Amino acid sequence: MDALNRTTLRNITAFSAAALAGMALVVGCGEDEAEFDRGAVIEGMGTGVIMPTVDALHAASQELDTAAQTFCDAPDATTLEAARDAWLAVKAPLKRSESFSFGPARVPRVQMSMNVDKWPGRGENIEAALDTEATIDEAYLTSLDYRDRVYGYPAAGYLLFGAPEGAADTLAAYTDAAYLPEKRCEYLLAVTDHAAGIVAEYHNRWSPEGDGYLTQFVEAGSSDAFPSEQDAFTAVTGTMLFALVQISEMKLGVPLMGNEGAPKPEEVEAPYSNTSVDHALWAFEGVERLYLGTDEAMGLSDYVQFRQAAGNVDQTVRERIAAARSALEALNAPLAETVVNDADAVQAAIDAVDQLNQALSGEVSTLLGINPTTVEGDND
Amino acid sequence: MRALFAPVPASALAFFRAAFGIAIFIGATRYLGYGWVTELYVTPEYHFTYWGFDWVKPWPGIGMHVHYALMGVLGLCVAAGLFYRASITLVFVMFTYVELIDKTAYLNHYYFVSLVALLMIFMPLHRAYSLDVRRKPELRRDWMPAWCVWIVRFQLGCVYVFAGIAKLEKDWLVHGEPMTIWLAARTDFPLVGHLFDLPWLGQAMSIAGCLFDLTIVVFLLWRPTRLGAYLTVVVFHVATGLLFNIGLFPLIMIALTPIFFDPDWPRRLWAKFKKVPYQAPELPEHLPARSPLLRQIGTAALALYVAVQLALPMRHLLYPGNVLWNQEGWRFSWRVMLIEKSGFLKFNVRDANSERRWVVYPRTFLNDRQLQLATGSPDMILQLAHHIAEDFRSRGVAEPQVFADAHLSLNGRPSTRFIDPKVDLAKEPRGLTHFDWVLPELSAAR
Repeated sequence: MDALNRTTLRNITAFSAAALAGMALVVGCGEDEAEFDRGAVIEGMGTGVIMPTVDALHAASQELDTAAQTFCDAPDATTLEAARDAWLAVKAPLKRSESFSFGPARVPRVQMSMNVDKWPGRGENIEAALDTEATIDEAYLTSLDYRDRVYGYPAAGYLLFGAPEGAADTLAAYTDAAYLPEKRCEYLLAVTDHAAGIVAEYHNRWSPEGDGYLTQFVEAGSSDAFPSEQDAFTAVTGTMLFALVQISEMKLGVPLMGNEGAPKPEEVEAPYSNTSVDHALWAFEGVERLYLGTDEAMGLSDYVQFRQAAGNVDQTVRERIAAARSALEALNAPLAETVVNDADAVQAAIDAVDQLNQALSGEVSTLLGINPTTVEGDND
Repeated sequence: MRALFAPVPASALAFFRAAFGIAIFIGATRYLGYGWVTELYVTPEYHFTYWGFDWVKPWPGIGMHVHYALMGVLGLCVAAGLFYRASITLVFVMFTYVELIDKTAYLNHYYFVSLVALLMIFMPLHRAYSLDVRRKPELRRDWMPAWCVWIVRFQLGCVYVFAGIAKLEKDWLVHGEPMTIWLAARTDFPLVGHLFDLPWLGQAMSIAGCLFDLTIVVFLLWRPTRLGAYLTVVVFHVATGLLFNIGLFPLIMIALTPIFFDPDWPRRLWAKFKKVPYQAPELPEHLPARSPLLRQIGTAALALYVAVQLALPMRHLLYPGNVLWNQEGWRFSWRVMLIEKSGFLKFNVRDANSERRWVVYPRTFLNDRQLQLATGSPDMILQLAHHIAEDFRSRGVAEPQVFADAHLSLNGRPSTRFIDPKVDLAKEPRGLTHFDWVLPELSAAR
């Protein structure tokens, strides 16, 4: 028996040595073969799409802060228009950032969707909140319940585009003493300042000069936040899909069908500025850019093209992106009226976005071996 | 029959008991440490319970955390052989309880743990190398009945053999899927990752994996190949553990597979380590006389257990269609690493008594993990449809109709419709019968 064991051991040793030698040979040969650089795609998404969006959001939030101050110093049609433009300039990158709402967007001190973008702003709640003897500042705002949608950029949208009952227009609310113009301005400045502070924190967390989450992202495979490149793809794909569901379900579906199975126009995202369709398009653009990349940066599309072999998954996704964009652009603003007057068009847009979701969550995810889940656990 | 009740040395089974208990402890600690208890059992507002087990619910408050902490402690008790019978019984009940809370938590190796814990309740594994023996020396025996060894070998054998049989299909053997997809996703793997895009590698590894599963038990059972086979088990599981996110599965298999060695292998190894002559334990010729009826009942129970374990993995043959696609007869069948499914799911809800309609996206009720797993499982889609119908009834819609808009991509194939969109799932019953509203797989050709 011992002799047999020795023989067995020798065989195993020889087999192992041969296997190692074979592996070394294969590794050596493999080094010369062309391979796809997945890291370049991650870097493209990070430095070509994500960081420019975060930079734009940060800059725009500062500019809105300034524009709101200028408006409050001298409220007139010109300064109001400038403040409105500044608000729209914030909302565009803010909506695009929904497609990468992982990492810094979810840390407790930031919580973008809760602290900065709980929509739609509720005019009646804001009116009640600004009618106070207390000093309206960040402490006052955060003492309010975020679920009442009384702070963040949606609230600023009400303050810049909406008007209290009885007021002729927005400007009148800032000039007519009956509408508490000083408190209104105090509220507006507190809201924009509070939101800008959170955006600054968000920017700092992404920025390579700050906490450097971007560096962690682009160095996926060797970073703590993304131990493998696959983790980076999973994070991005998961939030891209989430952004698409948000467009279908929340931005279009709820106003179209509401909780009662009938249109609920008051649930559109930007009811006071009548830019709800733009908001949906901006959110869509975030997904679009991450997939298609830019002139300078690779996107998920490049990786899909490499992996699809003889298939046409990338072409399918591109066609569905184009169809969804067309369907969204075909919606006549304002959305609050369209959900009542042209429900079919809204339904068509929902279907088109869902078709894109199907391709990304189906073919693309399975092709790339991505399980778009943020909840950890084992598999088998 | 007599061989099953022959006395065999106890040291290998004692090692098995210790390894199993430690695995329970590590598993519970991981769940607590990684925050999975909260994410899987506390945060979700909806759970996919098993048919007939809807009464199994998570504990409220910190109950689930206490449950896992206690389970970890009991795992250590099992390992040490302390209050063994009570400990292993509680481990079985508590482990199986959490598995029954939510189908999305199902993993083949968790099912394996439940089965082994059940078997261990009936094994006298506390009678050797245990604190129970230290407490009560009269318990001590250096031997145990052979069936204890053989039933564990059988159970481990089921895992490998049925996993191998399940791989005898086109996707795995011909297309090398989903292995090719998974390897391509790990091209950043140290040293060899850049090879994972090689077109033939997925297929080669698939075939090798299938051969491993189908043959390893034979090589483990045959003494001349046993050591080599075990080393192969170690290499195989270490490699798959490094490559794929399969948790404790590799550790469990590596730790428990030594049961295929002679029942006294730990003592032999110890003697070699201490460089002293090996002394075999003294074994009685027969087990102490027991009631013949008790032995007959035990034998019948063992036979029934074996029969069930052989039949369950093959029950998918009772259902029409591809089990990879419809997953009917999927669970409890050792179908390991066979599918990469991704899809899209939403529900169209209509009020049968009016024109009102709604669209419900499952994220309203599910977390990402639940959604990902439910999207490819008809039984979970049906369950969720029932839950949505109940939700609408509670909101005053007397007769809600729920239609699934479900699309699925399997192992890299194009996404196709999965569920018949014209079928009102609110009216479809749950149960074990075939779901004829699961559409046939249209994109079989890759």
